[in-house]
Amino acid sequence: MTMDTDSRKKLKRFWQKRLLFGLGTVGFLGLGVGTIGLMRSTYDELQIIEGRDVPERFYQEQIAQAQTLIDRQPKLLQTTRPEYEIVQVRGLFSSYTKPVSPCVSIKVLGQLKDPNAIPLLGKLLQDSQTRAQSCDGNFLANDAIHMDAAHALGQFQRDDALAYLKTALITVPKPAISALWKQNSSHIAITQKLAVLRELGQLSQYDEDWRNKVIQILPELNQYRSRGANTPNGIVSEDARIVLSKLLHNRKNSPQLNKALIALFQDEAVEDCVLEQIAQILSSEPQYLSLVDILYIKSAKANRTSLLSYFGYVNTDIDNTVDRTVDPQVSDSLFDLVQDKKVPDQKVWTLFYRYFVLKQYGKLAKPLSDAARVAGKLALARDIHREYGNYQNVINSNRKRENSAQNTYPLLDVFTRAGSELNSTGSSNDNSSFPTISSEIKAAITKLQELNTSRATQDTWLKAGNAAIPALKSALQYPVLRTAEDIQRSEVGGYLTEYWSIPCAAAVGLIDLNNTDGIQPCIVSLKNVAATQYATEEQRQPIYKGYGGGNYQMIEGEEDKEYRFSALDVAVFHWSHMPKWVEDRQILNRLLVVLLKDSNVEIRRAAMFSLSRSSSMTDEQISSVFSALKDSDAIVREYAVRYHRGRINSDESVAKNGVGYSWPAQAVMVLNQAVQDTDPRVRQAAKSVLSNVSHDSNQSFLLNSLYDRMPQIRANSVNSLCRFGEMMLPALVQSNQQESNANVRMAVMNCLKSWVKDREVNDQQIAPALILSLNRIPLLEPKKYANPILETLEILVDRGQLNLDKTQARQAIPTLLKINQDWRGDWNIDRIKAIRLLKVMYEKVPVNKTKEESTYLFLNLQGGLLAGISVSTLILLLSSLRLRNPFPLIWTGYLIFPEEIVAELMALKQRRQAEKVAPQRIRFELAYEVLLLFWAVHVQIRLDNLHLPPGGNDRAK
Amino acid sequence: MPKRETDDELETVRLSAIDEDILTVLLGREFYGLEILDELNPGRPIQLRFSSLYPALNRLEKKGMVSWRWGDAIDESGGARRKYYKVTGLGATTLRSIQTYRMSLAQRAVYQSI
Repeated sequence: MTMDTDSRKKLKRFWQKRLLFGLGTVGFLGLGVGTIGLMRSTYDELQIIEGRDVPERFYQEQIAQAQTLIDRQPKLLQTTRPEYEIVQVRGLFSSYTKPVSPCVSIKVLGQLKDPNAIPLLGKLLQDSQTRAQSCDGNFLANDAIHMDAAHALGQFQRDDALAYLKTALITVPKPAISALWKQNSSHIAITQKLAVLRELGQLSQYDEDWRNKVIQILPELNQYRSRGANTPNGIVSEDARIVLSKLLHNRKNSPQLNKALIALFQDEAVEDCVLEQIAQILSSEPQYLSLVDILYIKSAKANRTSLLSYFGYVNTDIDNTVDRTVDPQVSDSLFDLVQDKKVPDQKVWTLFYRYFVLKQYGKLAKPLSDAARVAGKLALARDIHREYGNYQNVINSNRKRENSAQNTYPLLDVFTRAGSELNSTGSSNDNSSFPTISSEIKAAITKLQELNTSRATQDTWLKAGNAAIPALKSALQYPVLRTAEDIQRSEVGGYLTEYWSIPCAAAVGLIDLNNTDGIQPCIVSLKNVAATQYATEEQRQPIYKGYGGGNYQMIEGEEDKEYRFSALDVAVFHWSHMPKWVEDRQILNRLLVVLLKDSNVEIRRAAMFSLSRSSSMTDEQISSVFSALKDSDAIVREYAVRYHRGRINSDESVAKNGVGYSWPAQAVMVLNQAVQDTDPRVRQAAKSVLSNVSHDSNQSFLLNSLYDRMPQIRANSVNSLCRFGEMMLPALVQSNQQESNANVRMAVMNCLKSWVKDREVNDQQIAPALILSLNRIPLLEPKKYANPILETLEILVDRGQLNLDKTQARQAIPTLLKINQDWRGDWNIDRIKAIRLLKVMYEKVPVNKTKEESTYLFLNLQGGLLAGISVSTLILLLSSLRLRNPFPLIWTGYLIFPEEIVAELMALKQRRQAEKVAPQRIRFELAYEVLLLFWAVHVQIRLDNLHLPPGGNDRAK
Repeated sequence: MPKRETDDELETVRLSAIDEDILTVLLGREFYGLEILDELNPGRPIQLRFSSLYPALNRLEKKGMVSWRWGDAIDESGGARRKYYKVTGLGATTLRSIQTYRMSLAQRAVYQSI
């Protein structure tokens, strides 16, 4: 068979048909995909239409369920059931709750906040009371329904709900309840009453009646314990705490309330845990501070030990209390307390110490001291008198300086004598014996430590001048602790602390005089003791994993000496290996500042690392850290950057350490320079630190960091910007729109939530931003991400600030429907929120019957179209498959190549077959040749022919 | 590129390395495509394919360096015939002149180095 003109035509026709069918099939498939996309959006539309009754249906189900289950509730029987059980599933799923009680339905009614539920809830409340009254006030029956109905009613900020609650409160038969309280299981009835009180207190319209009612029952607070809390130190129930907070918060001090509270604190039957709760609430309200003082004194007289220790931590902030006016009643009570022989001195002393910083108490110190002396409490009198001196130092720093300077000169004599003693006893490094330390030197060391840490240190030493240097150098003659044996011997002799103290305290003194001669013996001792302590630890864990980017861990058995030395340096200056007094007195910090200038890079690294872990801040330290930011070593620079972590935001820390208020701005400036550092670790550290700084000077960095490459930096920046308040709203909303990371979006949502929760933020952008994030909840852990969004939306709904247009509301509905559908199996608060929001969203989307009908019609049309497309595609596909090529495949080459090429390809194929090459390989080789030849024949040769002479071997043709 | 100063007709003729190789193979012989590749490829650093051969043959044909004739049809190919190529007189002359030029170039280099 040869390829003649007819065959060529047939072949051409075959390929034309096949191409046509192929194109037709692909076209129809594309059309089908498009139609499916259209159908999907129409289906979503349909879901929105059909989901309109979901909230109502859910609500009706809950009402029916509540009604049915309540009717089945046994009368006069205590309902013993957990409200709902928590099922913990480890792994992918977090905990979820399952409904197991009818009361859950009641709670759901409250959560839905549908006003239609109010009459039902009111009826439930009244029914349960009626039942109780008919049973001689036996509230044990249906207590849970009563309580839950009250809770549910409390969700409504409406007059009718308030009226039901008020009625419930008034109709509680007090004699019956009082009688019940005397019984062992009476806490249930009290809990009921608290529930009602709590819900009334939650409402903004609660009135004096409510307040008086609470005051009346204050003495009964001792009974307000959580269920099952039978131990003496049981926890006051959440309801009681809320009731008390509402009672005391933002209220003017009334004699009636004061009287009731004082009576409560004097009542021996009232437990300390209850009073602690009250004290905590009172202490947070400035108007009650005097009352707190009185209550404290009453507690002291009543010998309430645990309460006293609790009070010791309340309001000791000097800045807030130093100028406080003291109630005369309080000072009178204090005098009583000082003279009361029953009250131990220690408790009086604790009380006085708490107040000694007050100016008024300072004035009282002398008469109080005299009163104590008269009462025979001589030790107390002395302590008060002594502390009065300290009080004066607090308020008069100049006097403190004078005192320090005066104290310095005798010390110098002591140290000079100590040095000469040592010289007379022989070598300081004699291993066989250590010199005994006299009590005089011990006292001198203690004083020296105090001086070293006072703000006036430098002045003090400068006043002593060069005269101090020989004395301090004498102190340095004390034995240097070089070996573990040295340390053990000094430890056994009880002199370890002193041996530390002498060289180091003297070294710091010398540093103040710009003399660093003494630092070496101190460092040697510090290193050896720290290394010994490290070696004697039970488990030799790596000392610090992060040092040097995690590359400098201490590993047991490490051969590299230099490596071990680096790790040891870290160990030496690591806080956990430092003696207590070094940490407390900040002496180490002084040393570290000097070491930051050391020529050895390992020492500088260790010093900077240790400083970065220190909590203290001084001007000297800060200036050294700024210099360290320009260090030649990247690790030193990195830790200099890390030093700033958590410090810049803390105004309290800045003020406490006496650092200038311009420091935060300066720190932000130098850290911004570090962001441009040549080393990536330094840059990263600087970004990380700055992203957590909420200082005004850092705003521009934070705004830029919203678009940083690292999600963590973006999330930190969001949190930091959040602290600036609503002025950052536009920036956060804009970045949220482009944000790809779910955690960063959640940070934005949590920020919005915090703003909205704390105060009314009526911004048009908030609700749309929330809806946008709601529609982008990740599949993994959807509840975690949905919660803040749903909560914030709910707050906006409650305040009537949900600023959404029809389109935006429509966008939210599919996601809310999905949440409702996905979380159907579990009873959880999120689903109820979703249902409630769904209802609100539907209210914003008006019903358009014509459009709904056309949607159905459109869907049907689309369905028909899709069916038609499917059939057509199938027919085309089958037709295409049925087409048979009448010639061998290789003949197709005639349509695209000259004859000789077809012949060559055929020859090539035959040769390969003769060589027994695998058919697959032959096909691949031929396909490759065909592709290259297609290019050569149809492109390259045609291009060549453009500049070649025409003609050729025409005769041969 | 060789340049003959004495012959104006050949002054414009330019040959690539592949063209030269093909002319060398076909000098005094007659081959079809696959055979030319068989002759050229053994020992060649970069193997030639049909896609390089046919454009080169087209160039040589257009320049009058090679001529061809139809051969017999190949089995199972629907009557497709091979083309057998051979060098024309012009092709042989051009090739020889290039080879002579190269030889003289090599000799000059040898004398200068001595």
